[in-house]
Amino acid sequence: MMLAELDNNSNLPAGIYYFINIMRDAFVKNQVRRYRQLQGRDNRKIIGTYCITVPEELIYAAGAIPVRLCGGSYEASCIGDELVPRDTCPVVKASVGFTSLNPISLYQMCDAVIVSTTCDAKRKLGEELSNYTEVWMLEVPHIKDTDGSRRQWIQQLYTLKKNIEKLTGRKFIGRRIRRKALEDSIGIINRARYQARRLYEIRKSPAPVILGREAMLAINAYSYDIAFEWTRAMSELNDELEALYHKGQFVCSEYTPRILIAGSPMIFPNWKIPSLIEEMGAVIVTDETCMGNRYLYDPIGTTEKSVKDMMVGIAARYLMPCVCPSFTPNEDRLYRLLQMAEEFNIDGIIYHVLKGCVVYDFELIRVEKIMKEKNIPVLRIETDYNPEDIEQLRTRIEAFIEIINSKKRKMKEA
Amino acid sequence: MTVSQIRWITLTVSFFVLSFGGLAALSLGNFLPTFSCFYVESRSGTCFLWVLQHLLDHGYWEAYKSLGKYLLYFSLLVIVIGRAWCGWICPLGFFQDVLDLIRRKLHLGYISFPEELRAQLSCVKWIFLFIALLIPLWVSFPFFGKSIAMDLRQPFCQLCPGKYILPFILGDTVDVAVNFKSTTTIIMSVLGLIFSGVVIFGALLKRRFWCPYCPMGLFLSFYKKISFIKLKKDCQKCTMCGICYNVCPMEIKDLLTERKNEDVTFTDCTLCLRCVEYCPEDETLRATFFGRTIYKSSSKGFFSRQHITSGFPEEKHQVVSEPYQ
Amino acid sequence: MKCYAGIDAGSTYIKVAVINDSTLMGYKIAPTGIDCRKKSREMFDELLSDLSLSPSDIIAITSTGYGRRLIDISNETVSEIMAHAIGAIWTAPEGSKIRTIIDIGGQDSKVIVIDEKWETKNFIMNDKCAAGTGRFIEVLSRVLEVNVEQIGPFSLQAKTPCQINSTCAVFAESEVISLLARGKDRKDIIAGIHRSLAKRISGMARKASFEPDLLLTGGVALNPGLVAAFEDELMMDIYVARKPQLNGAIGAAIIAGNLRGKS
Repeated sequence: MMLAELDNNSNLPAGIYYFINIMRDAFVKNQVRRYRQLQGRDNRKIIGTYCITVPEELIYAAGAIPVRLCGGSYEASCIGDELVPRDTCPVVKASVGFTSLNPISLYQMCDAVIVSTTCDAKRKLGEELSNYTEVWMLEVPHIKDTDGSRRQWIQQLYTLKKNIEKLTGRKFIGRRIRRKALEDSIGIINRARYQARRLYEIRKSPAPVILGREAMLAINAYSYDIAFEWTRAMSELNDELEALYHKGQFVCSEYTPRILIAGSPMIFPNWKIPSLIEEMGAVIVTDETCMGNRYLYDPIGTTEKSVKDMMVGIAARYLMPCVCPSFTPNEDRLYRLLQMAEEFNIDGIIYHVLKGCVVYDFELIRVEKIMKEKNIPVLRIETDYNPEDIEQLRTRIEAFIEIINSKKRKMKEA
Repeated sequence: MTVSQIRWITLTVSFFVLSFGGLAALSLGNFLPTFSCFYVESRSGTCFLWVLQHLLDHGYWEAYKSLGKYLLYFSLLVIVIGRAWCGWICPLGFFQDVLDLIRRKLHLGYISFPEELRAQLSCVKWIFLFIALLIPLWVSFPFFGKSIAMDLRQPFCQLCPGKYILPFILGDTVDVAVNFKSTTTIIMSVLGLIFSGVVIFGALLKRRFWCPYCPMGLFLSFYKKISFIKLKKDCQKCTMCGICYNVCPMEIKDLLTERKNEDVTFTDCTLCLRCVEYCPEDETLRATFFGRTIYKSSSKGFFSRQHITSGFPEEKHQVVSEPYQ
Repeated sequence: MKCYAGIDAGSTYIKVAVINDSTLMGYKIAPTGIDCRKKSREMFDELLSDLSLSPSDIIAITSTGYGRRLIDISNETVSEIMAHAIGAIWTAPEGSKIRTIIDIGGQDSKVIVIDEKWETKNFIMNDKCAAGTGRFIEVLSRVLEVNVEQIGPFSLQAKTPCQINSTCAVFAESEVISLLARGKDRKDIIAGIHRSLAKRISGMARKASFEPDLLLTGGVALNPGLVAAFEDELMMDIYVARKPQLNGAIGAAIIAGNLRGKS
């Protein structure tokens, strides 16, 4: 199992164990403890979310806890295989599989589930999940920058707010999401984003102090944790990493090929691509996926503390900078990738396509084109959660890293 | 100190200097590119629009000559800081910002017009500008409707909310009334009073309500290409988070959607620099003076201004949990 | 004497090659079987005794192929992509300027684009099924009851090659069966199979933006029918590697001896 493998690595920074434990509790053992921990003493409501366009601020402000449920388990995707069409992506298969059979309590304990209509599979996922739990659909406009879609999106968030209020409010005495609560929840999650940004900032260093698979795991753990607990742990990890950097304790040299992972999300426990890349001698310095950089990068900015202004701010944050390829046109993603390639000094891009995730595969054409101009090689890897193709993938990844290495060698000689 | 705070200080100081400077015999000239209203007795300088209309309606060569001189001085002032006159100095802008502050303190949300309506209303400033430029010519050469023309001196000033609001808030109520001299003056002053009322109410509901319709602002924006002060954007760094658009009191969407040009000093931009202050990306937005960056956005600055770079959130609002091992 | 060895542990065959500074001294090819580690060691020992060398004569051993990580006698491992690119230094026919290598293996096929220094510029591999691999031909020849060695000469005798649309081996099998049921000539079907394979791999080559000259490696390259099909499909001459099966193993041995500069 992936966690055991991580545990065995003696070079892990101490701060990472918190995140490993979160994952272990959520997936392997102590699921009941995790459940209690999330609910707290006063039995708070738990709301499941799918996709990164669901504003967690509204959930926290209502005193509930969000849990991101996008599934990454191979076993669950096998269960889901029987319930959804064969060509569906494994994320949706795993999500349906988890919900239908309840192998872990995370999915059981949600009082309601919010599904946003990003891609086709997610759109239909809501209908399937409604067989098992209460589902609120959140309609995401797919063309982002028109005034109409902006207004429609804000309207959707007000509706969502009402739904959440109805769920968390007491009978007779209705409880609304108050201004102050909203302000605080924005602060709480902005702090988490600040720490996530710090982690990415640290990973820009010429010689990395943390491996990508560990950093990605820490970000991924946010899905199953309470924001401020996560922030605290992340801040400690960041402090530790900064200290490591100053002491000069690097996990690999500055000549190690620096990889950017883009494309479909890698969701724990589907850690095969990150592990393979770093086993084969490269280092993942950043990622452009909805389980990583896109998840916790952009903050919310508001100039005033009125509910209206905060709602506008939240709406903008969850729609505008999201460069999920389910949006169109999606030029912004190309700019984002170019910028990341520059900032993180990328040597190559590994473009991960989950089987059935057509939108990501589509954008590969454009990504390859712009990266060719920048002379950055791109390797497309199409796979699902099945571990059987690891050896085939290893060959490709190894060869890709060899290409980068020989390129770097040539540049060094020149 | 944040840029917003500096701007507040500048606005306040300019408001008092422009409104009361006359009492200290301060004279800043007749060519100020800002609403230093002629109808404020204690002013220390005069709004160029009044002077423009006043000199245009003389019909003498001498008047035009001095107008040319004033226009030159005016242009120099505008070239130096562009529409920062609006965001940093204008007394009417100050008044609107005070109303805005009251609204903020009451935690009332603002309204924003749909884009379509905004586009339709953008012709209003042109109408005002044409009123200010063409009617004085008719006044100077009244080949028809002479009696009407004679009552149309400084036509825009009669409509301008500044003429009514600024003296009024300084305790001078002489001009804040319907002028019963003739039908023309009644119509003009009633319209002016209505505009003033709308602007006061509007400014309580909407940020910088008047500014998108201001002909002075339009006049100033003609200089935006040659002005020393510019707003610039690094389009590749922009993540399109939309914060700049949300915080912009003028609701300039182009600033967000621009993906090609570096220069993003748009017509309506009052250079309040709030977008730069709130941009969370390093050096994505910056203000330049003579090509030199004077203020730029930064991630760190953003987070520290939001007070979240240090400390951890308090557990408020039912967010209670047990420490986790 | 300075000798180097390369072991290419493929999915169907293990290839062992021993070289010295300038020539291929000897080689061995045998089916992989179930224990690739044991098998490779046996083959290596046999090869040494055949060549009457002692293990100390072998300065370095490099392994490649799917089983590369299992082979414990090797000093280092390289990916097949690199091994094939380097192997072409020795196996490319005289006078050719190889820029693209098409390797058709038992389990996968790859198109490798290289530069003049034999460094890999780009590569592309087929997906994780038998489409476009040697297995494809193997499966279909079994249906047609033809020996794998005969299949090449057979296809050259075809008059009007059949159209085979499926690239998947399983679907192609049923397609072949239905062609047989329609009474088509076996030779025409075989030519069709070759065309189908060549078409799929040419598609991959175009995707990798290949450049001439092309070198065909892997055991399948010994099949003249397939070479002809490739020439038809890509409309250019195809070079067949000398000892195409050994390309990977020779490449690995060159890497072991760091003999890249000498060709």
